Amino acid sequence: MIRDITLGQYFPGTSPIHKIDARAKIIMTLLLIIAVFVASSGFAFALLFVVSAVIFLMSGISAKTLAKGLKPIVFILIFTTLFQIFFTRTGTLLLEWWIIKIYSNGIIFAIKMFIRILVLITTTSVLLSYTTSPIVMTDGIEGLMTPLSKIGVPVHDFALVMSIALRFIPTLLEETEKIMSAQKARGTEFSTGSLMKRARALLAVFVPLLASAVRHAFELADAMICRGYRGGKGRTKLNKMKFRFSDFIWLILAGGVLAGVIYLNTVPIDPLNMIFV
Amino acid sequence: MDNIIEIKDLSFSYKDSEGKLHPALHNIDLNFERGTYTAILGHNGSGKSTLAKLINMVLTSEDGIIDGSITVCGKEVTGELSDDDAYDIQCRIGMVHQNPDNQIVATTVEEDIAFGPENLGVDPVEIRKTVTEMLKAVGMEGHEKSAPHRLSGGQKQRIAVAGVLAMHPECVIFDESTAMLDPQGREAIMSTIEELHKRGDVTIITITHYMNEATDADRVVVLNQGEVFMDGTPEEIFTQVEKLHSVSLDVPQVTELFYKLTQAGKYDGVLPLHTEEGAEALKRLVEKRRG
Repeated sequence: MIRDITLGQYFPGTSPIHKIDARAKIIMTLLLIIAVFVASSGFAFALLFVVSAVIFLMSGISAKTLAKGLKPIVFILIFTTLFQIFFTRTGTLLLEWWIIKIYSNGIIFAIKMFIRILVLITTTSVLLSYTTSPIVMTDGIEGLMTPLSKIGVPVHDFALVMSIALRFIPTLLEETEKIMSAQKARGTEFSTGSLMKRARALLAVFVPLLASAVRHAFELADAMICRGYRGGKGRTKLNKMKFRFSDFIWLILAGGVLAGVIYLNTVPIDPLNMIFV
Repeated sequence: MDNIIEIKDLSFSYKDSEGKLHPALHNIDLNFERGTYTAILGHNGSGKSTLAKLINMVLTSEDGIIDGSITVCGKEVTGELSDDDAYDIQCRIGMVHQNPDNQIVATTVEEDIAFGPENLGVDPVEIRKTVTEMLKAVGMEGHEKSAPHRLSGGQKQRIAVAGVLAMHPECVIFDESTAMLDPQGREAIMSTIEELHKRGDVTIITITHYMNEATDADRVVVLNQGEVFMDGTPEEIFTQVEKLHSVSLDVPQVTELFYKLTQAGKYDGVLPLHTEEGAEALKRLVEKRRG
């Protein structure tokens, strides 16, 4: 059934990673992303690899789930790795066969790129999508952006739009299913015929869907006015986010990883160079 | 008596985009007493929803031409009203609409019920208490964290009712709130309304075209082509079967049955409105004939 879909890839749980405040998680993710892009030495990459492995293990997310999540990027991962190996023309020549020349730097860049992408996807998906529900995430984004409202950014409106979008995705999906059934009953073919024909068939779904979305919007606006909505001013919140001491520690740890990466970049010895040169 | 809503000589015409007028209500005079339960009946296009929207200021003089006046909680809503006064009235008059999907704003049940109190700036601890209380009032305890899209239509509509009640309104208008529900869902909403009426502190107005939903009300108002066609207790209204039929309105099925029995000369008592009464009367009738 379409109504059973899960939004995003959230897996409910009670792990220490699940419990981190959403705002802290967003900042942690940003810090780690910066660390991933700043990293250049082999030690730095080793540190990032260990950190992302620890986060993954603490989250209680199964390896199968993570593998499933990584599947879409396998192609990019392999492609970029091979690209680095075959097209880097610096360093010492390790192997030459026909037109293929493999240099030491090619191998080193390939390993770095591989870890970079792997760590990037693992940390963002484990920290954000797997362990943070979309609702909490919206609250987190609103919480982080609140200071911007002082300079006139409509943060509350933006957050409301996001949460209403989340709320209506299942409703609109259900409606799409209904409209498609109705069109099928009238003989529309969605899966056969030329591309043009199929596009035309989908048009017959989108137009009524759009019309109903607009109707939803008007009625929802009426209902919201009837329930005393008049913008974010003076509103209270039932579930207020709590920034605990442990969240603070997590932030310091993530900052520590970034600092560690920057420090390790300056260490003159690089294990990768030592192996391949 | 203390009237929460007073409607005096009200006429309303919708203005369409070309400026043409479409009359919807003519010379309505109605008062709603505090704490009572009134059902407004009528066909599609009889003006019943228009009336509700005027009371709650969803329709204003921008949407059409208003003649006469509506006074809600002592303030004339059809005249010039400051924004704060208008807001105040809207918070005191709750409204449950037809489509449950279009009334649920938040992604979890508890957040949705909290939406109204949050707008009013109520303290979170107080809101938490209200949420628990309202879920109990509509018989949906334990659904705090449920996602609205996983609930049935009747459950969703009950959440919508809880969301309206959470604002502690003085009057709740149910605008065809059962029209999109299955029989069980309808039953659940009707018993919620009944419970609410028993509490006695809330004025209830239901707008419906299901006759048997009106039989439990204190008073029934029948609108026809924008005019008040009948006004009285359910007993007074539904026993005038011919008059209702003359504007192609039905009476509850059980009343219809006994009306036919009366016409056939088999019954000469008071026409029953409720199925249980009907069953009793039928039993007596059968026993009498057996002798």
